[in-house]
Amino acid sequence: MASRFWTAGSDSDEEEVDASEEENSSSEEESSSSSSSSSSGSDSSSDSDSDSDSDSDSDSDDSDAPKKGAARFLAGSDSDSDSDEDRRVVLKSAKDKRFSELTDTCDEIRNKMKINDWSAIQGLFDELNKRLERARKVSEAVGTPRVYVRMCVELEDFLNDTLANKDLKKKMSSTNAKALNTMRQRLKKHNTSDEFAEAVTKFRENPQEDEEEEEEEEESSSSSSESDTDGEREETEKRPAGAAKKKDKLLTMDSAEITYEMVAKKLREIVTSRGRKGTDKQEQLREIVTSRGRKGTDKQEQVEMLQFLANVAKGVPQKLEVLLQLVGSLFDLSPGISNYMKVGLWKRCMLVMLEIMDTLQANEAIVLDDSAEPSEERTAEPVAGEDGKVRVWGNLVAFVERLDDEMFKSLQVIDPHTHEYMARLRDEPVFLALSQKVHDYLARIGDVRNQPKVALRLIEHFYYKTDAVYDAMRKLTMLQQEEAAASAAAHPEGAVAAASAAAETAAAANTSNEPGEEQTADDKVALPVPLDFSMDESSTAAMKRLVGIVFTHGDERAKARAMLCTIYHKALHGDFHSARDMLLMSHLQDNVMLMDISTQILYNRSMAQLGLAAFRLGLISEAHSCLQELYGSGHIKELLAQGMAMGKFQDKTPEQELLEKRRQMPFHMHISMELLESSCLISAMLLEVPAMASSPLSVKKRVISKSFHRILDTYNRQTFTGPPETVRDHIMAATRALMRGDWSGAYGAVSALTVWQLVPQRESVLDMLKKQLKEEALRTYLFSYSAQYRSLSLDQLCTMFEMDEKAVYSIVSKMMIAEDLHGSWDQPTRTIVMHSIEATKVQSLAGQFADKATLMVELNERAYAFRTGGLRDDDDMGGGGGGRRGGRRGQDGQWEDDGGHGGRGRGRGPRLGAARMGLGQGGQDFGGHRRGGGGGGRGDRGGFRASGFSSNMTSGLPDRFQRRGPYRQQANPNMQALGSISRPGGGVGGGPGGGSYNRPLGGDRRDRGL
Amino acid sequence: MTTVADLLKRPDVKETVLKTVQLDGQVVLKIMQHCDGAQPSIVTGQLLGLDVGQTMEVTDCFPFPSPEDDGDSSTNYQLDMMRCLREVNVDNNTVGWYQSSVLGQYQTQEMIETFISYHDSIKKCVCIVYDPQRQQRGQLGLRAIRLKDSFIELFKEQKLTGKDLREAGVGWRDVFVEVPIKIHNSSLAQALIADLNPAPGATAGDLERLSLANAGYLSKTMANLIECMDDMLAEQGKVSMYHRNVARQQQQMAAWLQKRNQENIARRAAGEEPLPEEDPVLFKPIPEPSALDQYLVTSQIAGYCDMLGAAAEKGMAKMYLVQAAQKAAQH
Repeated sequence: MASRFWTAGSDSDEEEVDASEEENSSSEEESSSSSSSSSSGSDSSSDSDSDSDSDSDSDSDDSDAPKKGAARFLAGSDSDSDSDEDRRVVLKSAKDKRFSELTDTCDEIRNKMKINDWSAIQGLFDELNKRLERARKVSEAVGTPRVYVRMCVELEDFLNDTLANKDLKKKMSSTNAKALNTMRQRLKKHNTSDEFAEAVTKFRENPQEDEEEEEEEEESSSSSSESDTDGEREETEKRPAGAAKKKDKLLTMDSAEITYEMVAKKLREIVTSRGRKGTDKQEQLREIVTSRGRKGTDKQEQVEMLQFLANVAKGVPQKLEVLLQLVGSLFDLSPGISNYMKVGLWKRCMLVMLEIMDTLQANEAIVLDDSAEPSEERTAEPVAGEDGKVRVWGNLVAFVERLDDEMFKSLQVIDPHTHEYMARLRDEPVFLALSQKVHDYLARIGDVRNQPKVALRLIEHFYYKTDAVYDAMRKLTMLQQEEAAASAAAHPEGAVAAASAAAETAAAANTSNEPGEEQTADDKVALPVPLDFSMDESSTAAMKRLVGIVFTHGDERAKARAMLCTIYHKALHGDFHSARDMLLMSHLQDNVMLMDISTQILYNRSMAQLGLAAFRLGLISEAHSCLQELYGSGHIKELLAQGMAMGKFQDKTPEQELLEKRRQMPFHMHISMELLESSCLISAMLLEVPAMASSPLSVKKRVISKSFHRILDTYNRQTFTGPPETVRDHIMAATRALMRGDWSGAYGAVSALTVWQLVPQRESVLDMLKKQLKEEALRTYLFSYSAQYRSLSLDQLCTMFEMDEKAVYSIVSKMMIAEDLHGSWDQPTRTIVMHSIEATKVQSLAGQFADKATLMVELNERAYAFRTGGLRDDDDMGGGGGGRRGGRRGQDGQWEDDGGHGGRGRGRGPRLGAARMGLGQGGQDFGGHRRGGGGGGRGDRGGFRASGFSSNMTSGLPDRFQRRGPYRQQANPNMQALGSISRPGGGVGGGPGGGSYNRPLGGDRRDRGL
Repeated sequence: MTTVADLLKRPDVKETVLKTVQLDGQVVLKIMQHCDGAQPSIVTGQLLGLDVGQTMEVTDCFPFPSPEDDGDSSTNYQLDMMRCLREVNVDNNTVGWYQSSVLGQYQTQEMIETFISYHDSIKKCVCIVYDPQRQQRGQLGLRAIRLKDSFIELFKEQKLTGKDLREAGVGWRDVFVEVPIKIHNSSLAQALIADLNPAPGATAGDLERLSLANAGYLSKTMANLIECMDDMLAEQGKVSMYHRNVARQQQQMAAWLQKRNQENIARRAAGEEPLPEEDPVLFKPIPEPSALDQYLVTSQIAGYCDMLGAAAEKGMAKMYLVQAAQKAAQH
C-alpha cells in the first residue's frame, strides 16, 4: 500500500528533516519568527500550522506512530521542531482551544486521506463540522476559520483525485467506496453552499494570502536585522519566498538608498533564477512538493520586481538591462508556444520595448549587442569602451520577432468576426512603429545581419495590404498619434512616461487577485503610437525601401520571402507583368519545394494573387495556369493555409493538426476563396468551352482543366438543375450558355456572382469578362455550327455577338489560319464561305484508333524504360535539353526554359506548394508554350498528340497496318512521320529540339528489336 | 512422361502432326446452314470424323442446341445424339467442334479452355470457326483452328506469366494455329455437281462482290479494333502496375535488409545472435499477371488488322476497277 510505503520512506526522511530542522532551529533560535516564516514559505501545508504552531505538540503524542510519522513529515515539519522541547504545557484561551481542536481534526482527516480511508474521513468530517460550530460560538467571528476552509479545499481536491484514479477506486472495499460516494455528495453540497462557496473560491485563488499577511507583519521587524546578514543569506535563499521578501525589502527602501550594486545583484539573482529553473534539482523537487501553483506567482513576482527595479535603476545602461530582462520575463509569463500571449501582456511588452527604444534613441552611446557577454560580475556602472560606446547585452531583433509571432498567433486564435479582432488589428501600427524604430536603430549601428530580419517582418506586414487598407492604416496611425499627442499634452512628462504610468497601473492591477480584472485592466492600456513614426506615402514605396534592404543584406530565405512578398504586392496592385517577370527571373518555382512550409505557403499565396491579377487584366490563359494547379489539387485551403481541409480519407495525428493550425493565416490576410474559385473556373471555362467545341468527338484529347471537366460532368449528370446558387452553379450555367454560343446568358450567369463586389475594379473586370465571353462564344459558335452553314454573313455575326466588324473579322481569320474553321472570306459579299469537309465515320474512328495507338506506344516505351532502366531519364534530359535549345532559338526563350523545368519537376514535390506554372507570353503563344513545357516530360509526342491528327494520317493508316509484323514497329515510323509533320504547327520552341532527338533514338529502339 | 516403350508402341500417333483438315461437303453446308440460321447469336456444334495420319477427316457434324432453348440437357443431348448416330452407322468419333463467330471474334479464354478439355480425350481436336458475315462478303468464312502443343503444355501447368511464356519461347502467334482446310466430296456428289452444270462464274451475275460500300464493315471492324486497343491498354496498365509494385517491394526489401544488417551488426557487437537476414513472411512475391489475355487480345488485334487489310485491299482493287471502267466508258 502506498501509505506503508510512505511510512517506510519517511522514517529516514524524517530523521533527515529532523536533523536539518534542528540545525535550523539551533541557529535561528534567537530569531525563530524568521525561521518559521522561511519554512512556511517552503511548505504549502505548513501555513495552516503557522497558526497552530504553538499547540501542535498536543497532537504529536495522542496519534499512533506510523501514521503520525507520515503525517508529521507531510503536514509540516515544525511540529517536531518543537517536539524536542518536552511537551511544554501551554495555557490556551478557549478560543485557541477550539481552534486547536479544529486543526487536530483536520490533521486526522489528512492522515486518513493518506491511507484512503473514506469511512473514517466521513466520520471525521462530521466531527469537524461540529467543532466548527463550537469554535464559532466561542470566537463569534463572522468568517469561517481558514483552517477549515483549507481542509474543505484539500478534501475536495483529494476527492477529485481519487475519483479520477480508476484503479484505486476499483481496489476499494465496498464500504469504503460507499463512503467515498456519500462524501462526494456532501462535499459538493457543502462547498457550494453560499456559506462556504465564497470562502472556498477565495482560498483557491490565493492559498498563500494569509501566510503573506502574517509574513508582512514579521517582515517589517525582521528586515532591519536581515539587511546586515544579507550577503550570506542571499546565496542560500533562491526560493521564491526569498524573492518575495527581498522585494518587500527593496520596495520599502527609499530609492535614494539603492545603489547600483544592489540593483545589479538583484538583477543577477533574477537572471540566475530564471535560468536556473531546470537545473537545480533540489530546488525543483521542493517546488514540486510545495506547490504547483507557485510557478506562476513566481514569474509574476519577478516581473513586478523588475518593474520596480527599472524605476530605481541607476544609470541608463542598467535601466536598459533591467528593461530587457523585463521583456524576457514578460515573455516567460505567456505559456508555451501553442497558446498565444495575452493581449494585455503583449501591450505591456510593447510599452517596455518602446521605452527601450526611446532610451536607445536618447543615448546614442549605448549599443545593444547580443554577442557581448551578459554582465555577470559587474558591480559598478560600466564605463564607456574605447570607442565611446557602452555595450549592453540584448537582442532586440529576437524580441521584435517574438512580438510579431505573438501578434500573429493571437490573430489566428481570435474570432475574426468580433470587435476583439478589430481591436487587435489596431495594435498593428504600434508594432510597425516599433519595428521601424528597431530597424532604424539597427541601421544606425550598422547591424547588417539583423537589419534584414526586421525589414522582412515589416514587409510581411505590408505586402498583403491593398492601397485602401494601407491608407486606412496610415490614417489610423495618424489618429492614434494625435491622440497620443493630446494625452502627452495633458501629462507634461511626455507620452512615454504616461505609457509607463499606464503600465504601472496595469502592474498594480495584476497584483489584485482577480484574473478577469487583470485582463480588462491590461486591455485598457493605451498603446500610443510614437510621435516620430510616420508611414510611407504609399505601400509601394514602403515595400521598395524595405525590400531593397533585404536584397542587399538578407540571407537566402529572407530574399526569397521578400521576393515573394514583392510579387504578391505587385500582383495585388495589378502589375501582373512585372510580378510575373520577377517570379520567373528569380527561378523561385524551381526550388520552392526545398523551402520551409511557411515560405511555400507564401509562394502559393503569391501564385494565387498573380492569377487574380492576370484575371483582372483579362489574361485568361495566364490566370488559368496560375490558379489551376492550386485549385486543381483540391487542397486549396491547405495550400493557402486558410483553413483546415476536412479530409475524409486522411487522418492526421494531433501533432500534425497542431502544426497545421499554427500555420494558418489570420483572417485579414486571407485571399477570398470564392473569388479564387470563380476566377479559376471562369478562366477554365473560357479556355475549355471552345476547345471542347473544336473537337467534339474526343473530349479527352485535350483536357485543359481536369477539375473543370469533373465539375461539368457532375453538373451534366444532374437530372434537374435549379437556379444557380453556388459559384460552381453559376459558372456551370454560364458554361451551358456558352456552349450554345449564347454569350449574354453566360454573362448574365457570371455577372450574377456576388464575389465581384470584392474586386476593386469591378466595372472593368466585368467589361473584360463580357468581351472575353463574346469572343469565346463566337469561336464556340463557329466551331459547333459552322458545319450547318454554307455561308455566314459577317454582319449577322456582328449583330449576333454584338461585336464590331474588326473583332469578328480578326477572330474568324485567326480560326481560318489555324485550320479550326474550314472556310474562306468572300470579300464582296462580306460572307464566310464554308468548305465543310466532314470526316466520315471511318476516318474519325481511325483518328481515335491512332490516338489509342500513340498512347499505347507511349506506355510501352515507359515500360521498356522501366526494364532497361534509365532510358527514360536520358529521354527526359534530351527532351529538356532540346526544349531549351529550341527555346533559345525562339523569341521567348526564357519562358520555354522555365516551362521545361516545370514539366520535369511535376509530381515530385510534396503537396504543399504544388503550384507551379508555365507562363506563356500571350494567349496565342500559350498553346505552343504548353507543349514546350511538356517537352521536358514527353518529348515530341506531346506535340504530336496535341497537334492532332492530320488528314494524311487518315489515308496512310490502313496501309500501314496491313503489314504484318510486330505492331510496335509499325507504329514507330508512324510516330516519327507524325512527329516531323506536327513540328511546324506544334510547339514553338520544343519542337525542333524534340524532333531532332527522336530520330536517332527511335532508330536505336528498333535496333533493339522491340 | 513418355517412356521408350511408349514411343515404340505408338510411334506414328505421337509423331504425326495435323497438316490438313478435310471437310466433307455436307459438313460445310450443315455448318453454314446452322450458323447462318442463328446469326446474331453464336452457336456451336460437334464435329465427327476420323483422324487419319496427317489429315483430320471430318465426315459429319451435328449442332448443339443453343443454351437458351433448354440449358440442362446439352450434355445429354450430345450423348443421345452420339448413340443415335452409332445406331445408324454414321461416324461417331468426335474430332472437335465448330462454332460461329461475329466479325472474327473467337480468341477467348473459354475457347482455350474448351480446347484443353477436348484435348484430354482427343489429341488432335480441331475447331472450325465460321464467320457468316465474312462469308456474306464473298470470302470464305471457314477456318480450322488448333492450339499449339507447346502452348497446351504451358497452359496445363498454368505457366502463363510473361516470364514463363518468354522462357518457353511462346509468342502470341504460337497460341492458335490455323490448319488448311480441304473440302472433299464423295465421287457421287461430284458427279452430281458436274451433272447440274452450273453457269460459268463470270456470267452468273455475281455482282455482290462488286459492291463498293464497305464503310459499314470497316467502321465496325475499326470499332472492334478500338475496343481491343482499350483491352490492350488495360492489360498494359496491369503489367506496369505489377512492375511498379515489384520495384516498390524491392525498395522496401532493400531498406529492410539494410536495417536488419545494421541491427545485426549492433547485435554482434553486443554479443547476441544475429537475426536471420531473410524474412519470408514480410515480402511475399507479387504474382505476375497472366500474359494470356495479352496474347489473346494481340491475336485478336492481328485478326482485325488482317481483316481490315483485306477489306481495304479489295476496296482499292475495286476502285481501280471502277476507275478503269469509267475511263473506258468515257472513251
